[in-house]
Amino acid sequence: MPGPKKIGFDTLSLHAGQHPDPATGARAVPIYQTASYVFKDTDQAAAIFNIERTGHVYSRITNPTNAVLEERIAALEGGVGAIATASGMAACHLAITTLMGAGSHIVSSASIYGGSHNLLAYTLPRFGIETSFVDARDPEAFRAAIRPETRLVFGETLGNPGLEVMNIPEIAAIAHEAGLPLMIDSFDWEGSGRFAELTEPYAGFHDMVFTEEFGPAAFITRARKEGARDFGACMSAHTAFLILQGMETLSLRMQRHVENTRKIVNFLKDHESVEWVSYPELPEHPDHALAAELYPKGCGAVFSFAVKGGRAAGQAFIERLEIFSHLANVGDARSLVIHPASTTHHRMDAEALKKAGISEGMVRVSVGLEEIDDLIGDLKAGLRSAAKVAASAARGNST
Amino acid sequence: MNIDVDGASVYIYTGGQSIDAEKQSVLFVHGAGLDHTVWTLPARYFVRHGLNVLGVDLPGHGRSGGSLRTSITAMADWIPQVLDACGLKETALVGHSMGSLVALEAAARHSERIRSLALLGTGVPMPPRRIRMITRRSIC
Repeated sequence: MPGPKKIGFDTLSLHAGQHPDPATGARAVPIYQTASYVFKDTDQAAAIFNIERTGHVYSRITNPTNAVLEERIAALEGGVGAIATASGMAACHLAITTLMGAGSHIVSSASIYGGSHNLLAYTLPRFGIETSFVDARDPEAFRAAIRPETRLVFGETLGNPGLEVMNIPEIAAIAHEAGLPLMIDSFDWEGSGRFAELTEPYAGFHDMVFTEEFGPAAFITRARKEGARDFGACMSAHTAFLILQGMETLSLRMQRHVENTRKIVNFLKDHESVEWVSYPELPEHPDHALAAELYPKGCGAVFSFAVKGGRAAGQAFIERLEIFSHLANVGDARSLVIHPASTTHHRMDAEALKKAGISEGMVRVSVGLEEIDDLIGDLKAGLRSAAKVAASAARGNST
Repeated sequence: MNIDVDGASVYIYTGGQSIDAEKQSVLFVHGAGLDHTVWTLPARYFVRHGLNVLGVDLPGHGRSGGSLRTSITAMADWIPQVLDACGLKETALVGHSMGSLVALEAAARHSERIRSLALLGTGVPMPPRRIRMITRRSIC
């Protein structure tokens, strides 16, 4: 029997989750900038509150503009649902707390975003939720850290700033063997569908047992009905609209991001003022083979490299740049750089930096969509400045 | 809730309520390869309106154990066994797709136990080969 016809990623990026607006025929997704929605009658209101029919009540919980974004993400990821939240950390908190209660335990990769690390290491313990951190490159360490009270295994696709590639299929198998879901920050990876914390009656909704009532949609339903409602970190409809606009050209932009990144990596890896370049597509990267298997379309637009001459040369390089912006995030349409040793990790001494895989001359780069010649020209100028600083430091050392 | 029917554990979704023999009941039969979760929304409606709801997982489906019944007639004969196990004399019966054929057959064979009938997504005749295919896949 032939399977259902599959619609391609690029087509879904433009169409999934939306039909022209039934009220006006609007082709673009309308921005429903409203907090609440009028019920047709008292019975409809009661039915929606009782979750026996779908319908919008309050934009903190659902909103028609956000619903298009959520359905589109779910379609692109092959998931059963999605919730748009006010920020990445709001999503992280909502997803984790949906599965956790006081006394439960998480096994997490140690190579995760600083904000997530702070949530797991310092904030959640105040609420009785403990986390063990293990090496992202060591699947057996995940297995060894699982305890009877473990409820979740957590990690990221690519570590930051070291770009450790997590062996998601192997770690997923270890988690599933223990009956645990694997949660991945960056994009969803086939969940186990076994959410132990959702099989108990939830008093907030008439003793609802989410796994029984919603099957594979249990997790997303509880996250919305409980966490989105109670914690309230919802996305504004206007933001959802802007993200939808961006998603329409997602594939095109990613192709250019990756294309520019490959050219820049190739330029830097043979440059005399560069000590090393770390990008999973390079054969010498420790996760090269795994990255090729998991990310055949490319390893994104973020990589790190080291300027010869240490911290002073790294700073000189950054200060000379004109097109690259010096700031703390990644993934912008514009090209970005940061010098971790003098900024995000400046409190670490030389030994601690080494342990975290950060050298004093290391620069993290996020490649944007500009003309490649302009980007390389900017980098050349920066490297010249770095080389001058390195040379004068070398002269200083020799006298 | 889980009950025992014919020596096998059967899962019945009741919308969080216990079965009360004094109330009227409505029993939902899902289609091939599906389970009770297709009935969550209507089930909650009938619970709110004071009825017993029995969203069964057919043998070998969803959370129910037991061996798969290989004919519509066998599935239809299983329905009164469920009613017996729940202490219910009669019920309204709702069926979807293959479940609608089960409901129709149960109403014909056990009319004294079936008060009324609602059929959704029904095609007569249903293609039996297709049903066998989907059903076989659901237990793999």
